Amino acid sequence: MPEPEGSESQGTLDPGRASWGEGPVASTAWSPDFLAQTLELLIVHHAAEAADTAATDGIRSIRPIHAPSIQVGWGPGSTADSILGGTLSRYGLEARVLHSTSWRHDGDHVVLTYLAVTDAPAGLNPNLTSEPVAHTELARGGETVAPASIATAQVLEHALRHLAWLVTDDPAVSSALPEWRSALEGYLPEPFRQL
Amino acid sequence: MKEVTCMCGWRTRGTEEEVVEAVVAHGREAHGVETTREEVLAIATNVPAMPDARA
Repeated sequence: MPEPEGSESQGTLDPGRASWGEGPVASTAWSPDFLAQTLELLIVHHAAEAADTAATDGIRSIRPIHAPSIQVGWGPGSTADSILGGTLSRYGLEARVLHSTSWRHDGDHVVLTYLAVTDAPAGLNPNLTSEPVAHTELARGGETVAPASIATAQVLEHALRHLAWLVTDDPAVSSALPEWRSALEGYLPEPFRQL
Repeated sequence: MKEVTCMCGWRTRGTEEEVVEAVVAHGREAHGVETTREEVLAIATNVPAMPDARA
């Protein structure tokens, strides 16, 4: 059984030797002892200079270079906010808005997805890549069953539709992201549909 | 069983020997760095031995 976040020995590689060796990004592994144990972090920022390309609304997604999203364990004794804030910090990023947006089964465990909105990074961590976000169809399930498969792009589409609703409905999000209203006009809000 | 998740998103899980071998190869091929067994074990997380449902 994995130990709680931060309780185990966290060795690190010599930072002078390995740019990628800053220690593991996740220290809590999947376990049947926890229900919602995996946190997924989708990161977006707005690039005003890219807004002319209507297909992407100027929205860009940041992800690890070798994975579609950042996934970290959620052990007991920590809040999701604190874990994900720490994860963002590891990559030199800070959330202007951090909001849970969907959950899904992934094999035997549950993945809880958070959307983090950041400023456009001045210098991107070399373990990350930034790419334009294009609209995609949502994953659709049946009346009482989840979709058979859900791609990360579909989770992000859902998250942005959720954010489009929040920037008009949630005062905190609206005040934090005033420039996002126009960028999100192309996203229909449907935050409660099943993912 | 051990698991290592690199900051680049790459992840491996397996026996100690499997994880050490995989991380050393990943560091060399993806990041151009040489990693020792001790360095790998220092960052590896203990995980329960069970079928892995994750990608």
